[in-house]
Amino acid sequence: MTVHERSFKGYTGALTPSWRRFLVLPAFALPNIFKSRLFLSLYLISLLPSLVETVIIYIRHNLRILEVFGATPADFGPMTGEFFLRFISIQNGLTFALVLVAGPPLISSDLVNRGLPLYFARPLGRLEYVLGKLAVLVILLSPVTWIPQLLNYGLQGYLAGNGWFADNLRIGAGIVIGSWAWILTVSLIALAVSATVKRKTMARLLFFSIFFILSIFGSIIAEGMRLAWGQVLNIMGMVWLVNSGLLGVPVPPNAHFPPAWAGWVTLAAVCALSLRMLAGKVRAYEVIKG
Amino acid sequence: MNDQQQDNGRLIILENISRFYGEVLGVNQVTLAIPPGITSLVGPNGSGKTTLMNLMTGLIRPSRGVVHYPGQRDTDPETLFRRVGYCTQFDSFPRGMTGEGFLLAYLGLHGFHRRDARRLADQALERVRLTDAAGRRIAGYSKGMRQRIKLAQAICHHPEVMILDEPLNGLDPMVRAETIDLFKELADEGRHLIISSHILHEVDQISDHVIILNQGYVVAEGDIRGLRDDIKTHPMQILIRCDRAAELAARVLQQDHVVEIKMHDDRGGLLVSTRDSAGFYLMLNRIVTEDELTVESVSPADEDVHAVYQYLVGYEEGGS
Repeated sequence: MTVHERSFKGYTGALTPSWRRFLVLPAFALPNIFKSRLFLSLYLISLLPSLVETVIIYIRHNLRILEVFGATPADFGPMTGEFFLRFISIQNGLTFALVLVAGPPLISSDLVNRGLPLYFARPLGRLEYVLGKLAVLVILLSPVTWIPQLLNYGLQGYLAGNGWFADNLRIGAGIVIGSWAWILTVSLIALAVSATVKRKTMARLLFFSIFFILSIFGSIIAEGMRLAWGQVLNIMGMVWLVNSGLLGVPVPPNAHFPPAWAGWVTLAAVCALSLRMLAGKVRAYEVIKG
Repeated sequence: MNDQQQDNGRLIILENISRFYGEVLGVNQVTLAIPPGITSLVGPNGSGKTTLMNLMTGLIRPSRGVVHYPGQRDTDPETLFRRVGYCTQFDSFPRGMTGEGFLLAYLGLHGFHRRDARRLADQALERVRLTDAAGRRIAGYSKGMRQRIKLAQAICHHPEVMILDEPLNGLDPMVRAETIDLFKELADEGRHLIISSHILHEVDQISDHVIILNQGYVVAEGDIRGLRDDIKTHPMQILIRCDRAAELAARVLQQDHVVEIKMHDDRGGLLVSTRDSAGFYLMLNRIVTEDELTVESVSPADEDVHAVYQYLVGYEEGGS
C-alpha cells in the first residue's frame, strides 16, 4: 500500500466574521445584474420620481422661482403624508419592474445548473444563502425607494423649518417602515418564484401573474361584489393600504378596502408563505426518483 | 496521541450510515474509513455514490449512523468545510463570471480576506493550468477548462479532503494525464482524495483504494489486489507467455486448484484459472526451474477494477 506522508499546510490566517459572509453573494451578483441594459435603463427611470419630488419640494419653498411662474406654495398642495404616498406608490410600481427583471433568475439559475451544493459545501447555510439573495434585491431597491424618499423628507423638513420635522415624524418613520415592508414582500415573492420555477421566463410570468392577475380578481371581488376583503388578493393594494396607514392618509370612503391591519396580515402571510416555499426548495441535494 | 493518529491517518469515518429520501434509498448500512491517498467510488447509476459524497461533504445528514472526522469535535461548518473541498459533476457556474471571479466568490464565502483570496485563487489557477484564462468568462471556456476551474474551486482553500464527482469527464487525453498527475501530487502531500468515476481503467490507474457500491450498499472496499483475492467465487486468471506452453499446461493442470486452462492460438502462452493464486505462483516458480522453461511474462488477467466490478456488480456500466 502506498504511504502518503502529510506534507501540506492548511490555511491558518485570519478570516472575515461569519455573520457577514452572505454579503459575498450580492457583491458578485450586482455587477452582473447591471450589465443588462434593460435593467440599467429601468433603474435610471426608477430614480426619476424621486428627482421630480425633489424639484417640487425645492420649488415649493423657493419664492423667487414661484414668482417667475406666478404660482404660490398652496398650488402644490399641503406637504402631508398624501404627497409622499403619491410618489411612494409610483416608485413601488417602478421597483416592481426592476424586481421582475432581476429577481426571478436569482435562485433559478443556481437550481438549473445544480449549483446549490457548491454554495453549501462552504460555511454558508440555507438561511445565509436566502439572506444573500435577498440582500441583492434589498441593495438594489433601497436607493430607489426609502433612501431618496427619506432624503426628500429631510429636504422638506429643512426647507419648511418651524417644527415641520417634529410635527411629521410619522411620515419619516412611515417612509422607512412602509418601504421595507414593500421591499421584503416583493423580494421574498420573487425569490420564492425563482426557487419554484427553474425557467426564468416562466418565473417572470408567474411573478407578474401573482401581482396583476390576482389584483384584477381582488378588484373584481371588491368592486363588483362590494366585498372589501377581496382586496387581500391585491398585493399592491395591500401595500398601498399599509403605506396610507403609516403615513396617516385616510382611505377614500368610496374605495372598498378592508381595515389597515388586514394589509399587514396579508403582507406577513405572503412573506411567511414565500419563506416556506424557499425552505422547501433551497436544498443542497435533489432526490432523483426512478 | 490524538484522534487522527489513532485512526491511522483515516480522516472520514462513516459508522453504519443509512440515508433515505422518504421511501427512496440513498445508501444503507455503510461503514467505511477513508485512508490518505486516492480513493475511488465506483458503481452504476443510482448506486449511492453521490449520496455518499454528500454525506462525506456534510451536505446531508445521515438518517442513521454517524459521519465522523477525527480531530473535529463537532459538525461546526466553519471548521468542517475548511477541511473539505467538493467538486460536483455538474457545470455549476454563476452567470457572467470569470474564472478568477468564480474562485474569489467561493473563497469569500469561506471567509478569506480579499488579498489572501487572490493569492489562493492564483495558486489554484496555476495548479490547474488556467492562469492565462483567469480573466475570461467561464461561459466561453471549453468543457475541459470548465472541469479544471471546478477542480480549482475544490482545491483553492487548501483542504485536507477533496471529494471530486467525475472530475475527469470531458477532459482530452493530455489534460486528463495532467489532471491525474495533479491528483497524485495532491495525494502525495498526504491529502485524502475521494473520486467517483465510471472509467474503470482510469480508476485502476489512479486509485490506492476502491469502494464499489451497488443499490445503496458497499459491496467491496479495499485495494484492488486484496479485493480480487477475496472474490472466491471467480477463480483468479493468470496470463503466462512462455516457450513450451503446452508442456507447462500439462504440468499445471495436475493441480487441484487449477480449474481451467486456455491455450493461446499461437501456442506461445496460456491463460490459467486458479482458486489459489499464491499457491499457483509458488508452483509456477518450481516448474519453471525444474523444466527450464523460458518465461516471457506472467501477469494477472483480472486483477483490476473492471474485473472486480464485473464479478461483484455483474454488468458493464459503471455510470455516475
